[in-house]
Amino acid sequence: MKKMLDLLSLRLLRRIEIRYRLINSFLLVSMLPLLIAGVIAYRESSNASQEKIRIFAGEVVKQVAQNMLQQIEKIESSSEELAMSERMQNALAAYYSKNPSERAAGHADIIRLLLENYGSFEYVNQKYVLDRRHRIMDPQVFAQLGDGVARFAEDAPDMKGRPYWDVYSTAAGQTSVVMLRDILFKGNNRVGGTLFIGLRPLHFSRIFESVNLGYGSRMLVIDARDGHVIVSANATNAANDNTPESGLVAAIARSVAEQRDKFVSYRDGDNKKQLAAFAPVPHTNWMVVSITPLNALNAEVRSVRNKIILVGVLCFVLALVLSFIIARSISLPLKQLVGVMKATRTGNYLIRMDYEGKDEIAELSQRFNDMASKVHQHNERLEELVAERTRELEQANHQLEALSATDSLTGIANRRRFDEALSGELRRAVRSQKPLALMMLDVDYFKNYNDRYGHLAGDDCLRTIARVLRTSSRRATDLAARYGGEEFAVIVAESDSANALQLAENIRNAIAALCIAHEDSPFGCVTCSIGVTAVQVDENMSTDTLLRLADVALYQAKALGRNRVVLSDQPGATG
Amino acid sequence: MGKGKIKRIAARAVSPAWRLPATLLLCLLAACGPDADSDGAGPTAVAQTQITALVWAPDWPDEMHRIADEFHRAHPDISVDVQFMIGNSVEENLKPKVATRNLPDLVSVNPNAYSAELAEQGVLADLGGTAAWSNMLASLKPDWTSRHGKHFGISGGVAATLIYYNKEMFKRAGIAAPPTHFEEFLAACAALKKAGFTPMVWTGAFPNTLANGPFSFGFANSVAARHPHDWKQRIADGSLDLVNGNGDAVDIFAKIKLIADKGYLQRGYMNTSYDEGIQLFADGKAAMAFQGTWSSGALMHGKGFSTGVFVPPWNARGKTVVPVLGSETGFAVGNTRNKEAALQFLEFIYGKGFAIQQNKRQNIPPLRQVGGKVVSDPQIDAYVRQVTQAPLTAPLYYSYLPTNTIDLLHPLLQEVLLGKTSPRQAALTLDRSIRHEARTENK
Repeated sequence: MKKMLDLLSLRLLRRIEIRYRLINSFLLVSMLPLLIAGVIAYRESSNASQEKIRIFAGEVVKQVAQNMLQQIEKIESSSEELAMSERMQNALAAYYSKNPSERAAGHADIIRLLLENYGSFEYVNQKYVLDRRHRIMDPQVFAQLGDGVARFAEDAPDMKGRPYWDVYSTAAGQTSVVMLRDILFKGNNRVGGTLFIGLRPLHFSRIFESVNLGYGSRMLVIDARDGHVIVSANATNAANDNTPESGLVAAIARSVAEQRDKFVSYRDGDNKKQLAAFAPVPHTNWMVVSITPLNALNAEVRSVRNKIILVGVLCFVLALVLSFIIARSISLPLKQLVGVMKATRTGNYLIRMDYEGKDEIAELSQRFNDMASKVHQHNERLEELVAERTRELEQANHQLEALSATDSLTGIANRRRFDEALSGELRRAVRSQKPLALMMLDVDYFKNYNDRYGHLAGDDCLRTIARVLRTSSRRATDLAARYGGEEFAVIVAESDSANALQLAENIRNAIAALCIAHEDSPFGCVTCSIGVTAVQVDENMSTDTLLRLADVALYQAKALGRNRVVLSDQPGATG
Repeated sequence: MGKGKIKRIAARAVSPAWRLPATLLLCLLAACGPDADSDGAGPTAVAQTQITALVWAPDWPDEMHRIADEFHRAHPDISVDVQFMIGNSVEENLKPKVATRNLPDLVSVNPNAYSAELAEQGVLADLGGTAAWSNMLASLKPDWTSRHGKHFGISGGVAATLIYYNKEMFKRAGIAAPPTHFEEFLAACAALKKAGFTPMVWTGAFPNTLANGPFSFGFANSVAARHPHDWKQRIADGSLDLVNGNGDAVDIFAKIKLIADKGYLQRGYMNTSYDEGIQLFADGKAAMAFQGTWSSGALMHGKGFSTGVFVPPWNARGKTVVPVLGSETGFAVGNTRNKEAALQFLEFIYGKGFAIQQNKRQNIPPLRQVGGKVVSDPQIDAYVRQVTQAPLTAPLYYSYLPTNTIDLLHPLLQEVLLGKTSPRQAALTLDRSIRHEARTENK
């Protein structure tokens, strides 16, 4: 059970959005009681209507059957009186006489008797006396009329003098309710003739034509043997409405056989359910039947039901609108909240739920906004810290980079930086076809200086010379570097030998002008020797070649007495 | 801190979850509809008027039903309950109805004083405003107009009684031409009898035919011929002497009796009905039939022989025959609550419905213009044209005899034929009855 409940509530239903679940729950809550109440009310009302029609129609058909019996007995009584009258007996006897005169008289008297007894009644359609061969005793009647009457009489069962009632239809379809009775000679009880009295169906239908049970009920008299309509409330249409009600006959037959209530239900030719109350008409095979279409009977009930349904539909629509509004008040903020939450996936914690209210969602929104705010603050702080650390790292990197290219003693480029710069300038000079000059500088008698003044002084001396070189190498493309020990190198890009020599001479003079005392130097102060080379480089020239040329020139300066500048005289040098 | 921008996302797609409320709504709306058993509003019932027609139509009952049926189809709101008269006369059927104020809405009536009186009393409606009246032959209108100008009926046709004869039998009997006076007629009968034929068929069981035929011709040639200008007036005021003087009425019955006594009639003629009489002639079992033009549809089409017609020669040698010609039994409308519907039916009988009966009976239509395709017999047309030219004609007996006299006449004719009453006694009875009715009428 719990599993089923979980399956329903936690799996199946949760596949549906909350607002739809809410709407449906509203509708179910509002409509189900209404539907159930409506169905119960309809059933109860329908049953009550059927019971009502059963009682009323049952009583009415009984009364109508009684009234019909009275009419039938009245006609039977008068016919009996006529049949037994001396005049009729004598007239019939005369009719069968061999004496033509008596026969004619009898003939005429029979006609007179018929006219006297039935001639004034407007409801009598036919009035004939039939002879023993069932021929009409009226010399004016032609075969086309007489044959039909004769057939009707021949088809009638032997009633042993009792009246027989049935419906006679002419070839054109006009119907009469006929009483047929044999006229027996009182003297020998033999049949002398047959009285044929045809009555307008209206004569009987008038008994119940004003009876209106409502609900589209119709009353008719049927032949219980085959269901043919004998008389209907609308007698005018009886001929056209003579369709046997086979379903009705079967239902009545079952009810009679089972001695059940005289109220049956059946389906007519159109498969529509009908309710019928019936009562037999004594002396005949007829049944007075009141037929009520179930549909019409339920029309009133259906009207109430429809009103209930109309109210239900209105409630439904109202519930739908209200449930939609309510569901929207819940689901939309939730949806917005979900949307906002989804937006934070991108790290945008600046987003906020703009929600006014006092419900749980408002609180949830507020909590979310607080949370987002805090997250955003944390993120900002973190970002600032990262940026600071990054800057520090960059500085450290710059410093490290600088340290890796700077000579730690003199602060100018070290040997590694020099090598990289020389290679770069060499490639650039090849591309630009401009001359490249390189100076190699060596401090004269520096070992002696160290020995005499100490290494710290030596280091100071070297730092001083480095400052001179840095000052002298003003162009961006120029680079002064400590080549090693007391040797320095200066790269002078795009410079010919004259220019390089001049720069070298300036450097040498600047160092000499420093007058750094050097007791163990013949020059009394610190001096330097500079080898200069300025060449038009090509692709075959290497940094080593340049260095060697400059170094050779330096060596020559040293060899020539130091404190001088010597230009390399190697081929390719620029003049 | 920047202000967050909320992006609203609305769910627009119709969820399957809507199916539940939609289904509920559909169920409710479906429940509003009719039940499975409902059949909706049925056709609106038309208010029905049922009229009763009491009709004298012995030889055309089916046609009358058909006319009523066609009328109902054309006027679904009106149905007609057709009742047929019985016995020998229209009047004996009408009298009980009239006396008990149960007159049907439409009735067969004869163009006689009785019907005119009913019109004067307001029992019958004035038909002067109907199309049928306007269309009726002018020559017939006087028969249907009361002395105070009430137009009380429309004739069923131009009625003439005549003798239909079997041309083959006449030829075989050596009769070259139809007889022109009564002696020749008797001679022709004798010749026919001698040739082995039954000269004439009479319907003794239905004296109405005898009255229309031999009686009416006897009256025309023995009474009307003698008082050509005032015989009707004499009947009305009771001054017509039928027995004394010339014994005119005796001659009427005597001729009838003579023909029977000479054996010129079929065997068992007193038991022969209307239908049987026609059948006998049509089957070629008799040489002549004394009948009306209304039966020409049956009599002119006998089995295997040609039929001719001639004026019954009830005249004496040297006298001009007085033919019988007048109005056939017609229709009137009762002043009942269904009068308007009955008038519509009357118009239909003489309008669209007329061809139905005309084509069966082939009588001479009473109308100036007949709608539809109708059949008539040229010999009958020629006969009526011929007798119309006669210097004097007399109508059929029902047009001038008082209604009680009509009722008396029928058994009287039978009694004369049966020998129970002599022609003179019969004439006396007739004379007394007419005089009596005249006195009663004056009262």
